Amino acid sequence: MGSTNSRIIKSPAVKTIDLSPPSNFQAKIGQYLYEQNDLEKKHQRRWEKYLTKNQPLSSMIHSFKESKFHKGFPQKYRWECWKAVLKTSSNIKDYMSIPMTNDYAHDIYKDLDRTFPEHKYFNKSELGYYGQIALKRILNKFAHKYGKIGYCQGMNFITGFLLMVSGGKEVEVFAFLEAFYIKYTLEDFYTEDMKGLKHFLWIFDKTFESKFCKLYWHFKNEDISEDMWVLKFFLTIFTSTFPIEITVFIWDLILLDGFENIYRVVLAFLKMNQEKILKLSTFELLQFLNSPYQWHLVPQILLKKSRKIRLSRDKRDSFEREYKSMPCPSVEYLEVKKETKSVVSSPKITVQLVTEEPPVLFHKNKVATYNGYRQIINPFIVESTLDKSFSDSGRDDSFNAEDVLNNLVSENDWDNLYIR
Amino acid sequence: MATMECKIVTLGEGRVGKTSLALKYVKNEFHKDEISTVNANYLTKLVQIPQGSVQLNIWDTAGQERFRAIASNYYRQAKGALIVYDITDRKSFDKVVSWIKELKSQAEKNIVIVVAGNKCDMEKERQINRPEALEFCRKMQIRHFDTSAKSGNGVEEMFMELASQIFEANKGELGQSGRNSRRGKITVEKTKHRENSGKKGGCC
Repeated sequence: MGSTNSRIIKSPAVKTIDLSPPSNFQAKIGQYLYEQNDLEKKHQRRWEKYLTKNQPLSSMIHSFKESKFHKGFPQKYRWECWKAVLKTSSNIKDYMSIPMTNDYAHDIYKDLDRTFPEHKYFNKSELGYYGQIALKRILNKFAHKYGKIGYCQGMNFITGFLLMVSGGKEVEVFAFLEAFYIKYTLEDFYTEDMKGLKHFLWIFDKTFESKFCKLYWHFKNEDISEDMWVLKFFLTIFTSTFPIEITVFIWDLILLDGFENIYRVVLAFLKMNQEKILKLSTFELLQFLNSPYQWHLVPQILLKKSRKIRLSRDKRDSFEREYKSMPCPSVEYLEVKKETKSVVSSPKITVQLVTEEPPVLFHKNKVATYNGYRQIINPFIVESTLDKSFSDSGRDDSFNAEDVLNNLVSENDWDNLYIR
Repeated sequence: MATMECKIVTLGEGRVGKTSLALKYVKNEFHKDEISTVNANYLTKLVQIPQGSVQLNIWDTAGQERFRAIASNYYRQAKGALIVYDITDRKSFDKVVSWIKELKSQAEKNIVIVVAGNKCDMEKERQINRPEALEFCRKMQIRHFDTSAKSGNGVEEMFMELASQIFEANKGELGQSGRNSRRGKITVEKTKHRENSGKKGGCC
């Protein structure tokens, strides 16, 4: 066993733990997230002029003129505005009291260094593990508090995105996430069956057809369904599909004007690229939709075009009715109860979109067990030690890097962790 | 010469290197911290094999199981599947058998499957004995490859083998009507020129 221990401790992941918080400027987060252009700088100065007249931020948001939507919030005040829109309040004590134990810790761990690795804040070679560990705590605490949702790939991007926009304010990000998911009823977006997401995809399909017939039928002719491309846009709310300096503007729009703007943004994006899209065949199109660097988007223009797309309330309601009236092939999904009230007023979802049953093998309890092999220690087990030092000590925001390292090399801990 | 267009899917636990393998092969790129895949990525490469040429359309899928519940099209018309496990992660190897079962029940009958033991540059941290893996694949009658997306070891060979096996398995369909030339089906020319109906060779 001795050799097993030394092997894991030698791994580079353990050697370089650095938990010193970076400054926002250094980490390029918060108001330093990206370089603002002249237009945005001017916009920010105007805001500052208003703010010096002792106008509170919330009234600024309310007086936000519709015609100015495409300008978004100035970067410096963005996080404060977002919080004001959702009226979130955060309490560090409450946050710290949430344990980090959950069934998804392993899945979460696997995604930590694969979330925005190109951004300084999450890049361990530039700034150490600071960003990754904040991300890890939020996701684990969330998975603990909302066991039904747990963790779904894609949540890492949303959380990471918010961490960067907020300037690394972990506690506030957690509160914001909770408020965000509740306000827009996204709880069933991320559950095992992705019921909420299916609903959104279905409505999108209908809206797409009614808006841009030619484009829609090009997609259908090329045999491309929503789950192949737009699923990714919706699931991560654009955070893994658009460059971050565009995503912040889309989020401005969503927060100011409602969640159905996700449809508008996608439709505007398609319309802007219509010429190109119509020339592409199936696989080329799928690749194009997955390559942001080919899009050449300007956020202000995308938002302006998005605002121009009119979604009729009546049509939307009739789509909703149609969705509700569809036969219900699978009863088991009805168990999830909706408790929170929606602001976007999406009705209760009572049917499942896809008539096919999901592959039997992927039901949790039926995952094939193959016991022909001897279990040996898992390299990811090192995580349990980290968890312990963060959550059990009850002071997860003020831990000592040295303690973590000491825990990692303690022989006794390894004995307990060995799986026979 | 006729080009066969085919869809292949990558399968395997999260973080075993599905995206890295595909990227290494298609673009000869390797990123130590590859971004985790949400739903799927799409990559394509034209492969020349002695018998002809094959356009591999790679559907690089996400590891997390819950995506299978919503994206039911993963296996549809797939001609080949690449199951990846991480030689330093026992769990990922134990999952291989369930992926094979899954393919046998969900995918097309003649789907070509190959298994890749990835990260073989990390031999020191190996948890799965090579003979054990080979024996397992021999029983399942599936080709096994040791690969490393980092060094590129075995990657080219594996995709070549996959391409030629797919070619062999589907050459009967080559030259049939191009009318049902949808994704994953056999076409006789590259997709790029599909709108050029005049060029459609091999049509009845």
